[in-house]
Amino acid sequence: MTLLIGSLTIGLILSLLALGIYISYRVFDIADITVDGSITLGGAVCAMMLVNHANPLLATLAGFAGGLAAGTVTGVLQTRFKINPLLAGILVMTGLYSVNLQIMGKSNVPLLSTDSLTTWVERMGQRWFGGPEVNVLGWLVSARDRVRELRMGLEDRLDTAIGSLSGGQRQALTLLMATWLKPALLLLDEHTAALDPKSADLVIRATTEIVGRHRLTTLMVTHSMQQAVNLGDRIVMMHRGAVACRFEGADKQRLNAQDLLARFEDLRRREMLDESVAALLDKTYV
Amino acid sequence: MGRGDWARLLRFYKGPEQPGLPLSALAQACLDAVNSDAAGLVMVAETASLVGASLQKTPVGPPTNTGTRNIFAFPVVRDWLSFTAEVAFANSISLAVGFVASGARAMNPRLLKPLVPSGRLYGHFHAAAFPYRPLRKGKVGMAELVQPLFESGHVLGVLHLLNDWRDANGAGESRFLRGACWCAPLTT
Repeated sequence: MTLLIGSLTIGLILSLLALGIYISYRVFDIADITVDGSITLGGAVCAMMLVNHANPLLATLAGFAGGLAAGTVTGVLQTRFKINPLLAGILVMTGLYSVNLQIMGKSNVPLLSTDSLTTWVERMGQRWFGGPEVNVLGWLVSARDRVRELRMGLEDRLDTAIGSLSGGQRQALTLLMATWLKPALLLLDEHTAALDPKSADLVIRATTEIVGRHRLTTLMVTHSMQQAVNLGDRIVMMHRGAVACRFEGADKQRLNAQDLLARFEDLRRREMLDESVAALLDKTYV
Repeated sequence: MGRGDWARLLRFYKGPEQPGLPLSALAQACLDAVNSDAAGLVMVAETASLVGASLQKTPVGPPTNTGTRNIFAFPVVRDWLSFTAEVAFANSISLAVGFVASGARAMNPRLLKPLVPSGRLYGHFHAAAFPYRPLRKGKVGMAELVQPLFESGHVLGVLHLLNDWRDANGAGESRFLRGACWCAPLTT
């Protein structure tokens, strides 16, 4: 089903290209093949804006404007420089290969983790159909695709009872469900504490990916110094219900797990020296 | 400062039922070995536990009515001193250095502190804890055991050994599993 949907999507996109050539040929009676490059230019502009977290609507409009600009260049070549329309189209189309490469910096920009207009459409569909998954001819398309993002092979086990999954798989699914509707604040309370190291690593990887992709504001509680150092933008160290210290920006970047352990050790050391020890030292030393 | 050669080398190890040999017992054994009421000693030993205080930074205490500063006032003392209120440096190697005295020779309250609750034995010991390494058995030179400790360049901690005699939750005194102790009588 995913293959069919993919084919349909690509076909719809390419139909625009065919329309571009058809319209110019029927309306202006010229064989303008600029669209072969302009549609790619628009795609390149849109893709680069999307991967840089621009608004999907703005990115699509910018891509549209890019295509218009390419068509304008062909038009200027034809009308001002009196170049044969077919040749002008070929010139612009060929030149846009280099332009597109310059815009993207490479030949391919993956959009797997970015929001686009289709994501919005998908969400609207989810809302209209009354659930987080769309049932297309008996296939839970959205659920399968979303579960695939966990990279645990769970997309092939959608009929498996949750109770028979491992702790790590259950926790990853819980994370997926908690983030399905993009909460304003995601609270993670030691969500890897009861997992073995490999499962914990998988869940942390899924967490990083999901939080990064949806840009979720997240508050994560952990006793793992390594997790605290590796994840997030800020660390707030709590002790006995009070903030002991906090790290952010360059301080957070420089921090390593040993530094955090040393801070905890310092707190523990201070606590061990209580009033009775102070009295003992006063008596022993003085 | 003490000058002179070591008079005795004591090799010791704890008995099967003992949690460790207390520092006071080892200090008393040194006094007995050199047949004196004051002795200096250097000990390299496997550690059961060290109890004591270590300096974190130069002490500065709040001013008192007399114009002096009480650096042991709570909680200011926390800022510059730490204390091992529970078992510390277990299974490390300790290098302990100090003096022990009993009877009339122990009448220097500024330097010597009681090693046993009865007050019959006094001493002043400092110790450094190093990562574990096996200690050679038999008769061995002090340099032979001490020098390798510093070759690793890693010191776990440095303590002024003190006894924790608090009634309810005191950690007691430092204890050792086995090791070597060089001692000599103090003549002046």
